Amino acid sequence: MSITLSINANQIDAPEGSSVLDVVNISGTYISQLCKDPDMKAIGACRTCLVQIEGVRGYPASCSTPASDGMKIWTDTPELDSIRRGVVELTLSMVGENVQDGPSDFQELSVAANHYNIDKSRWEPRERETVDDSNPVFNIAMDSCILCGRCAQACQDGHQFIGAIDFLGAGQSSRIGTFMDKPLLESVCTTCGSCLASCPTGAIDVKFAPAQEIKTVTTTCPYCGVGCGIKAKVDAKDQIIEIEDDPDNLSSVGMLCVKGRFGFSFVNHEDRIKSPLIRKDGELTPVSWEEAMEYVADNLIKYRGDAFGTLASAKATNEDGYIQQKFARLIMQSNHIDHCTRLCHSPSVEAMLTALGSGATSNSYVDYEEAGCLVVVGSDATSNHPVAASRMRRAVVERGAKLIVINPRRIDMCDYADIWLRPRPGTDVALLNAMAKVILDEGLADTSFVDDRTEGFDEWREVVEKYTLEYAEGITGVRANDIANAARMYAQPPFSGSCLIWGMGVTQHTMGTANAHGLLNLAFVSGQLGKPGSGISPLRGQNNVQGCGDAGCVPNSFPGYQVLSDDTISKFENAWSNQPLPREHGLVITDMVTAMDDGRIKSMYVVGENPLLSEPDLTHAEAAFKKLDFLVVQDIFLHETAQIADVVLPATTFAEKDGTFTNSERRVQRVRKVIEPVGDSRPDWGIIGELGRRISDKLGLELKHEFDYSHPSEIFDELSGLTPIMGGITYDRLEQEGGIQWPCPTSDHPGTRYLYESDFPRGPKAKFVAFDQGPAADEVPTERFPLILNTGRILYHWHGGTITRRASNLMARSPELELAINAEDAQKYGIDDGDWVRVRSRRGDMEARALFSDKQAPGELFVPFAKLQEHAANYLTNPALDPTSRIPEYKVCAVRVDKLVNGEVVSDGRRRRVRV
Amino acid sequence: MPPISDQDRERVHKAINNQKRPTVTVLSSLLAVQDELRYIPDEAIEQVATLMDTTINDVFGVASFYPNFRFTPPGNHTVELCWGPTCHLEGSSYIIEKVLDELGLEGQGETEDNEISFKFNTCLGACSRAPLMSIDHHMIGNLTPESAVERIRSLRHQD
Repeated sequence: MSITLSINANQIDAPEGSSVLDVVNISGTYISQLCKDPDMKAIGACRTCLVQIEGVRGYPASCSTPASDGMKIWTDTPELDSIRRGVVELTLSMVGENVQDGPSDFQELSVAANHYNIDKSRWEPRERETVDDSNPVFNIAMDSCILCGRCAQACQDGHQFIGAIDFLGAGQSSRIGTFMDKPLLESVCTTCGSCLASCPTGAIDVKFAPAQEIKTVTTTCPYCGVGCGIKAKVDAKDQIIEIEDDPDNLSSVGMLCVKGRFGFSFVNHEDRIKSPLIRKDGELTPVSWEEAMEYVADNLIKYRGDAFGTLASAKATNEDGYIQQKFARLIMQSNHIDHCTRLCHSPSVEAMLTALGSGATSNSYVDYEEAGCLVVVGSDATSNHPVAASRMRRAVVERGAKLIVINPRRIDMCDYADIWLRPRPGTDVALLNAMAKVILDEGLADTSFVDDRTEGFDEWREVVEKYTLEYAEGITGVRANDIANAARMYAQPPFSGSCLIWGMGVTQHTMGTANAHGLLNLAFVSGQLGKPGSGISPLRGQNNVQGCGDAGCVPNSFPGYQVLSDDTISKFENAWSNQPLPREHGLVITDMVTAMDDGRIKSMYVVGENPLLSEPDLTHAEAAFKKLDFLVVQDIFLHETAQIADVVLPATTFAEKDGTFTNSERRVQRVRKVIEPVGDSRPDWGIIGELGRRISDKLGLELKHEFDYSHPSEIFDELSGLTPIMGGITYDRLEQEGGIQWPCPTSDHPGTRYLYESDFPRGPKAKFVAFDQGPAADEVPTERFPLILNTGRILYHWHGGTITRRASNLMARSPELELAINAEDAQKYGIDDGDWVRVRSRRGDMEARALFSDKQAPGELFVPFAKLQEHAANYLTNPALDPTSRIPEYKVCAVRVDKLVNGEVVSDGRRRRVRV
Repeated sequence: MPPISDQDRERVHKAINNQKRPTVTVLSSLLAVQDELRYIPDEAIEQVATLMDTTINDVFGVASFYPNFRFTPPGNHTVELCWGPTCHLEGSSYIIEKVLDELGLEGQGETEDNEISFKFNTCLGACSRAPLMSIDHHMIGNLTPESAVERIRSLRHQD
């Protein structure tokens, strides 16, 4: 429905629900609008968007006046002009004498002042407060603040739901500040930069003014799996100078986090590998591409078949992944291809494949906002998926959704939670089974869903039957009443449906697959699946971990999860020049490491991964990688794995190539080339294609044309042609419609917001799979190693930190590895807040700065697994595997902690004896 | 700021949960805290936010709006000196000068030993006795610079 209004006597059509300001903007008439952010609700504070409306008394602010059909609006009558000039002049007096100062103009305020020909305010400037420069990335300078409130709105309800800054004081002393008026750095600020993006005067601004931009490219953020839209600004030197949010992006709706907005300087970092390197006389030596390609091709030929394994990158594009699996299967005749999902969500994927037949998030982010109850299990979404977390907070704050947090740590989301369950690490199966039993016993189950759409219910019910609340309380340590209340809330939310959201806290256990099944069973029994506002969401950690699996970089299936069967193998053989393809399932990454160790795999081609930081028990992984005859690493930095490689090939980052990423909500989004490749680097698809052509030639396979592409869009067309779930997606559609969520089988299909509305990929029925609680963890605390170490991520570092270590803004915010320790434990081991400590497990040790935190229970420690200052948590972690999915138990290992003085251990963790 | 003692935490809890009034608001709760502890510590704001089911920012936004709320512990005694029109005409500016000298202050604030909190007041509501000040909410009128200083000195000697 649209309405028609007149603006200064011109007829304008506008959608219903617009404000008068929206209509004025549609008409193209300039009107100052200092406090109105295009993505947010009207505040109505600046009073500069005044208009006159026929039949309405006075001069209403157009931003907060709803438009209606037939309205007659004037924006520039003499009275209006005089009032508005007065308002703008008064506003200008707030930024005072500084108008002429320095390079920073007052942005939107200056534009308004210029428009109305005001160069200086007649009034005395306001008294000025000091600048808060505590945040290493940006300053808040009250001396150019006009108190419009946009930053406070961006930080709080309505946008990011963080709440670091707000209006303080009254009258003359009104200002923007933090809780208790402390420096910004001591507040809950996450440096997401939303305030900075919304500030109309530059009062909140980056520390160093960026150079003049010459172009802006819309692309997709390279960090986590949320898949936010970003706009990258580039200067004349072809360097990215600034990243802005993209309000049109359907996944991030104008939000970004600190990594997305400020973590871009790695792209032009001096450490980028700029030319191919070959190990000569023990040293990695720069060579030409020609020499490198010949050398790699000549060597890889020797290991075709089972002796070859490859790791694909969940940071690279779908097109890169597709080419890589094609290269491995067609040219190298090996199904030993895997990617990092093995180390994060493989239990979720395995469980979902068994129970549903597809390993993807069933719902969209918009379902979080519509849900009546959100259950966040083992996921610190605020740190790892900040924008998704904002959308969850929006559900809680704006719509009154219930929030249940299940986590042994007191994560930030607990602030918003109705119920927080704190199970002992590794006891989730008992907890989830007990919740299911409450749902069954109290008649809260969705019996029609269970009867019509599931199987295996009776067998499962028998197993669950013994998990009474008392029994579960004994195992998990969670109060029986809380378990029961959580179960009731989940099964019967106050409105709409319930979403189950989980992360690594569920999966990185020896019981990982059992945990994931426990969650799925809970969704089945209460029917919280296949309708709006409900669903199951494993939150993905990497930008394209979904897409990497979709593109076929897994050892047991072709693109689109078409499992290796005679039919699919012949389908792909036909598509790929009738060359026979390997028929056996390949090895997963954790098993590949074992296979390297015992000599079955002799050559590895590692693309965009750093297994020597991400594998558990690094000392053992290093030994295995060193046994390889031939190791090729293709990456952007010379990381730990690259340092022991025989050949290193320089790849490009997301900013230097075209392609697509697929995010957590199955949305395929365009990645666009922002700058030219740095140095001699090349996109992954180009390098792998070149290798494919060379090896094909050397072997006389006549497969050269199979790797001949001029643009990634040709690769995507081939991928979508062979992959029914993406059959209807093309670059042209992505260009016009933005991201499209698969399944999208045909070109007129709009994409799918949520899955499983009527059936499941495995057939008409989903499957209950029962599990009993096993041992909580492979390793339990002992006298020698009395504490449990939990690993995870923090907001400012991304995974192993190979990228974020080279992003100066992020390093400034978090330069050191911090070990979170409960004050009670710290006292026991004689550690003070801020002491350097050494943490030891049976496998290795690391050093970190102790930081008192009550987020974890006594007896538990937490450390991010990023590598900072040569210390990394994965020297400690346990490679014990979940038997089904082969995921290592990153979340639990037994450790001890000792205080360090000048690098020496001074106290003994066991006996509290001080040696000095 | 150091965290408050368990005892004070309990006092805050009691103060805001036992408000004898028909409508309990953020403002009434903040007043209850200030009456109990004579200042509002961080944790009290958190408790008020929990009680009123709102955010700490909203509570602090209200609290910081009113200049009479304070967020640091006050001195043992509070001296408020009136500089309203009547007191001004009766010579309060001379009293202010002497009192500030005596306290070693430039303006409002706490003395170095945190014994006395000094504030200006725009009207204590007893103009007939101008110029006047209040010490711990007791009015002392018809002041001279000397008598005001004398009174303040005697405060210190009491303890």
